[in-house]
Amino acid sequence: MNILLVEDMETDVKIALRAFDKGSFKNDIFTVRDGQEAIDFICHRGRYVDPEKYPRPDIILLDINLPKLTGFDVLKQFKGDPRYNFIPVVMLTSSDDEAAIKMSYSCGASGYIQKPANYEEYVKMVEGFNSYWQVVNKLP
Amino acid sequence: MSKRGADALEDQKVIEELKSRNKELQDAKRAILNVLEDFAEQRTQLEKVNKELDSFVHIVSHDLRTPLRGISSFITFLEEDYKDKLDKEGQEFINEIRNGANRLGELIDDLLALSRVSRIKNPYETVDIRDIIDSTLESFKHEIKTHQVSLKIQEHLPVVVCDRVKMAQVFLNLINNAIKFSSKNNKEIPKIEIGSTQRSDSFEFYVKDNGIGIDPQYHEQIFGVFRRLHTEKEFEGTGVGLSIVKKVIDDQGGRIWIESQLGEGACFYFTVPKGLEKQAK
Repeated sequence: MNILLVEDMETDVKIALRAFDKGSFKNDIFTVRDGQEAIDFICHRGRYVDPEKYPRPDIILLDINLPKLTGFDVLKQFKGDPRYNFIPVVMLTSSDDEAAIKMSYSCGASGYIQKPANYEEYVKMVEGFNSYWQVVNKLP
Repeated sequence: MSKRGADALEDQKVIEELKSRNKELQDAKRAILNVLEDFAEQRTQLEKVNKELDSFVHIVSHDLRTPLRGISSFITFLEEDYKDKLDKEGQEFINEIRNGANRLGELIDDLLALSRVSRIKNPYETVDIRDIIDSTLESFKHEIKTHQVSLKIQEHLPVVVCDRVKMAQVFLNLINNAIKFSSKNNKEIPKIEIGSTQRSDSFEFYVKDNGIGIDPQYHEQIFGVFRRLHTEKEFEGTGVGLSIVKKVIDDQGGRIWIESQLGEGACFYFTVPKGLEKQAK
């Protein structure tokens, strides 16, 4: 499964990559650091123009607090475009704010995960995530 | 001067006096209204500051989680990748960092719980206190079994109008403390009693234990945030639980207090006012 991880914190990127690497499922993970880059990646623009090098993600893991465009901005733009709006987006953020959760779903998110407190929890989260999206659920 | 003239003069004086008193009364009324307006404005300001403070605590606590996640995760990476290269002392240092990170995590969780109590207002509803106590005891069944805690729960407990979620937090914290402090009683088995008394204007509840007790000089300060009377080694916890309990009880218009002597157990009392159903509608 190709995953696009939209995350600006270097530490969180490293933790996520290691947790996905440790899991029993195999994933190809691409990372971008801000909202604008995420749009460029999905739409194959700028440095992400080559679809072979940067294939369409099967799922997007999207942080909310991002530089330039926030996660909500990305979600709104992206879900308004019929060329890409079928790709599931799962929010992955520190916040457990009720308003942020509602906003995410109303903007078209397919899921909302609060970032685990530590690496061990992260590994468990990744296992659950992969089981759902690769076994239980049918992806487009 | 004729008697009539003198009476008229006297009447005039009374009228002048009345006018003067009336003016004084009007001035006093205006002054009182001004003071009341000031109070209302100060109250609004205080509520605003309180709200901002709660929001600040919430945001800061969340922001603290990010570097903490990094610290605790990278300790694990260090252990996984370099454990063989570290001597005994190096591994002890890692354990100390991990303990510190875990402790910081607990503090952040408790700060968030405290700010949640202030920020989130649940509607008042009719709650059977027995249900709350049963589900709380169920969540502590492992500790109750391990420490062989003797429970005495009053048969008839009232149905009250309150915030169900927060009332559950109150019992959770008080029962947790009761188990924690009575399980260190070396003289007899831990005993916990829970009951209530109906007062004219409120329901009064108590949670009693035969634990280590609290010196009366600390009865007020135990409800403060992060106030602890024991070291982490003696009793785990951050010292936020009773602050949460007090905040919930205060917000509902109730009262909380403790009766205890050192070495003689403790009994926490709190009240839930009657009439909260009016606010529920």
